[in-house]
This record gives sequence, C-alpha cells and structure tokens, in this order.
Amino acid sequence: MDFTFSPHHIALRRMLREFCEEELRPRAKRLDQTGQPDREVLRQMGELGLFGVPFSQKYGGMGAGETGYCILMEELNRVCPSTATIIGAHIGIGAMSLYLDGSEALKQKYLPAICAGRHIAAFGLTEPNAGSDAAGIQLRAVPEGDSYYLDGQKMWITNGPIADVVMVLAVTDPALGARGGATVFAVETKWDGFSVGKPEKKMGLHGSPTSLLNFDGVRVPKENVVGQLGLGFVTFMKTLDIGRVSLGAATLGGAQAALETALRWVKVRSQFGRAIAQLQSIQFMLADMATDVEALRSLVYRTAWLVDNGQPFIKEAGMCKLLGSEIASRCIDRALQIHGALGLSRDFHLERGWRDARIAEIFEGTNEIQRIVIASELLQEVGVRIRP
Amino acid sequence: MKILVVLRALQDPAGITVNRKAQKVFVNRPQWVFNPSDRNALEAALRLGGDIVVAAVGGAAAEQVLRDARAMGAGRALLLRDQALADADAFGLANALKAVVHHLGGVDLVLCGSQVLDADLAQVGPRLAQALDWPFAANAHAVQAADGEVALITSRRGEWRQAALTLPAVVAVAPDSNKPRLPAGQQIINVYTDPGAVETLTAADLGLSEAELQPLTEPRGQSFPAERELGRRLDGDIAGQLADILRKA
Repeated sequence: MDFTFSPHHIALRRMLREFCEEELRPRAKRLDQTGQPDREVLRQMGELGLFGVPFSQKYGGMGAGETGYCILMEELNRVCPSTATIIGAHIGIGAMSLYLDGSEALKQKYLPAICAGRHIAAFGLTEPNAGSDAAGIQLRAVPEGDSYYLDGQKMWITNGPIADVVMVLAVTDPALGARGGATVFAVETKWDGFSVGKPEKKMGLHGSPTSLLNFDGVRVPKENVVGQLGLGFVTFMKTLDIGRVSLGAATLGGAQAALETALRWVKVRSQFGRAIAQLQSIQFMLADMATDVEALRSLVYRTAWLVDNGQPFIKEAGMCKLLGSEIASRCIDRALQIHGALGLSRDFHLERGWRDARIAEIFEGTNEIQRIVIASELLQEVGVRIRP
Repeated sequence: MKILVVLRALQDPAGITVNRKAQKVFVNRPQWVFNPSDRNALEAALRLGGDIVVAAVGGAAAEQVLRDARAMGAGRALLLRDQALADADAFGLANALKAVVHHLGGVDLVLCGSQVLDADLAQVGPRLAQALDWPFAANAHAVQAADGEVALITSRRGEWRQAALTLPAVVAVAPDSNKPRLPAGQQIINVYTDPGAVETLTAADLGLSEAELQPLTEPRGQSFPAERELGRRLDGDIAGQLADILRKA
C-alpha cells in the first residue's frame, strides 16, 4: 500500500498551485461580479495544457490521467469555482463522452482543438422536461441522406454561451426512447439552426456561463455520431460516472479553501481577550472540518486511482460527488460561521464560496440520484437489481 | 549559442517558521523550490534561445529543480551528486562548475541568479568567472546577445548602467528582472516520467581533485542577524525635526 503521489503529479500540483495563486486568484472576484469569462486566463490555461489534462498525448492531451485531472479540479476550485466549472464541463463531461466512445476519426477531428483550448466543449443532456429523469429527453434527431437533423432544446447547459462543440443526446428512435433509441452527436455551435438563450442568472458560479440551447433543424453529418447509434444514453451515463470523481475533487478544493481561510482567521481574530483559536467551540469546528477534508481527500484520490488502474469505480464515484458536495457546503458554512458577520460581507470571498458551493449538490446528477446509483451498485453486489 | 544556467534548490520559505526567541528555524513542510533569481536566470536564457543546459549540485532537491527546468524548456540537465561536494563552499562550487563548462566542451555564456535566498553570499558567479578568467557582471536586469557580445542593463545601489561583455562570460541575473514562465503540463508529465531527463555526474566524472573542493571557509556557528531598530514616527513640524536629525547625524 502506498498513499504517496507520483513525482509527476506532485510537480503538476506545484505548477497548478502557482498558476492559481498568481493568475486566477486576483481575477476570481471580478469573474463573480461581471459574469464574463476571462479570455486571457483561458488562453494561459490553454498554453499550460489545462484543457486536456486526463486525455492521451496522442490527441494533444496532457496524459496526466484521472489523478492528474482530480489535482487540477481541486486546485482550480480551491481558488475559483467558476473557472473550475468551465473546465469540468469542458473536460469532465463534454470532451469525456467523445474520448470514451467516439470513433478514432471523430477524436482526431475534435480532441486536439479541445485539448488546446481552441474549442470549448459542453455536454447537452438536461432538457426542460428531463432533469433527474434523463431518460425522458425529447430532442429529436431525424436521419436524411448523409445527415441527421436535430430539433429541440437543452437546458441549464454549462459553457452553453461559450461552447464551440456540444455533445448532444438526441432521440433517434422514439419507439425505443432513451434506452436503445438515443444517440450522442458532436454538434458545432457555428452550424445553422443552433442558437443559445440568455445566460441564466444563478445564485453562484457567476463566472461560468449557463444557458438554454436551441436546435432548429441543425444539420449534423453522420460521421459526427459519437459512439454507436442508439446507445447514446449508455455513453452519457458512463461519462457522468467518471465525471463524478473529478467533481468530488473540485468540492475537495472548496472544502480545503474553507479550512485554510478559517485557520488563518482564528489566529488573528481576538475575542474574550485571546485569539479565537483558543476557544473550544472554534476548535471543534476546525476539527470537524479537517476530518471532513481528510476523509474526502482519501476517497477522491483512491477513486481516481481505481479509474487509472482499470478497476470498477462507479459506486465510489457516486460517493465522491455525494460526500464531496455535502462536505464542501458544510465546511464553507462553518468557515463562514467562524468569521461571524465578516463571512457575509461581499468584500470577503467566503460569501462567494458559499454561493458557489451549493450547486454541487444538484448538477451532474442530484445527490438523490447519487444515492440511487450507490444503492444500486451496493445491492447488485448482493444480487439485488433495482428496477429503473 | 550554448548557455549554462546554474540552479540551486532551497527549502521553500513558505514552509518554515522563524522563531527569534528560540533562535531557531522550524521546518513545517519540507518542500523545495527554485532559488528565485535562478529562475529569472533560466527565463533569461530561454528568451535568448539556443542550447540551454542547466546544472545543480546536490541530491533529490537539486534533481527536482533540474526537472522543473527541463519542463520549462532547458534541453539538458546535469546533476552533480557526490559526497565530496557536500561540504563544498563557494570556492569548491565554482571549481566544480568550471569543470562542468569543460565537460560540456565550453559554453558561450553562464547565467546564474544574483542572489541566493538562503546563504545570500552571491559568490559562486564571480568566483566561477575568476576561475574561468571570463568577464563577469552582477545584477543584470536585461540580457541580450549579439555578435560575440552580451549587452546588459545592470543595477547597483539604485543606479542603472549599460554594459557589454565579450563572450564567453558569466552573468548574474537579478531577482524579479523577468516573469519566469510556468512549465506546461505535458512537459511536466514527460520530464518527470523520463528517468533519463537528468544526467548525474560525480566529482570523478568531472576530474575534480580534492584540493579543488577543499573549502576555504569554515562554518563556526549560526546566529540570527541583530534585530533592526524600529523607525520613529514624526508628528507636527516634520521638516524642522528632520533638519535637526540630519544635522546631528
């Protein structure tokens, strides 16, 4: 048993920490206030290879595996959850579905630009009437000649307003529906008939634009089918399974940041004639936060190890997302409590962190869905199959 | 152009606590970083371009900064790893680096950082220039090479100067004189997974004699520098009081 990171992962984290502290931290507040992604910082991230961390160098990726990708998400989310979310939607689910199941030709066509950050990717699953019940999608793809024509809507799509290519799940056989009759298409946003709605006004993650996508007879060539015809739902579920690991890593970064912020404050804030670090009520909160962070860190990186070593990981991935999102929310909430009224001030970053953290309990499968995933895997191990 | 950049690893100042009362430095997190101005020297070399070789003396920490330098773009990295070098002072290090220059079949330019954050002796550069009998310039903020010369802007006690040295030469690069690039992720992965990314040399490989490494200095102990006196705040007629103070000084 060996719990140490490889030297290349340690070196990667060192670079990421420096980048996040020097380049990202000074911009995080402005991203939250303006809601505009910072093109300059995205360009720098492209140069550093941060848009293709887990993907093979054959496609221009970094080749750092799931572990390297989790390190990226932890470090980004520690400083700027909005930027982490742009990358999470781009790599973790958008490009990942293409990477997992796309044809070699399609990967060669899109992945180099995606890994370099010249193309921003997005993942189109949710619809106005299909959220947790993802099988209820209605967006239609009708074949005609060498193409498909897509009609319908996707909703709450992270990166929607800035994406160049979106992986879209569409119904190709309404008789079969999602199970056997849905297909993933790689759709370029510059194609005719594609349009985006206004960026959503969200509680948090202001620097990560989210919008509705409209498909009005968008012509998609047949070679842009990702994976097998009719098996798109499987591709997307596989993608979400793996995406939960890095999402857990992101929440770890948020929780870690909250702990660090609290530790800095308790040393300098005095009440009752001494530093509040000396108060047991504060110490208990710090101990709980540190325990949460450590437990999550172990779970996330062990799960990343399972992925990198070809072991089954679906149950643990669901746990990463479920536990991580709850830990991040409660650690940030505790850090805010420790800061008292200052925690609520918009001039201080905890208020932003608190708003940014909440979504992790909802997106990429609500925590209720995660419990279903975990229970389903758990019961399968004892021979019980949950009916969908 | 062939450039040798001399690097040194330091205990990361962010991972230590200085306790003046106990006269001790506590290492909370042992982690190693580039000596800051060495990183500026490497960046200056990468901007000049050509064949860039980096060298460092030491063990695992030195190897780490050499790998980071390779990831930033240096073409070749030499680690001088030998027990015989463990106690070497600036004189020994300069002799070892001179041997590296010969080992490489000569170089056009040696760049190093002008300040070392831990010992802060700033001796290796000038001693190496002396050993090689090459010209030397300290505290360079801008480095440009053309026609067998290196043109510099240097600073000394707040004064800026232009200088030109005939190559080959040794130049010490000032801290914060440029913004060092970050290594790209792909390079980090490739360099850190390549066992051959850093070549290891011993004193014997370089033909170094015992006399060349014999320290000229002898450490007799360590102590903290005297605490600086706090400034004095002037209120009221500041000009008058200042004039008074200056007259008495």
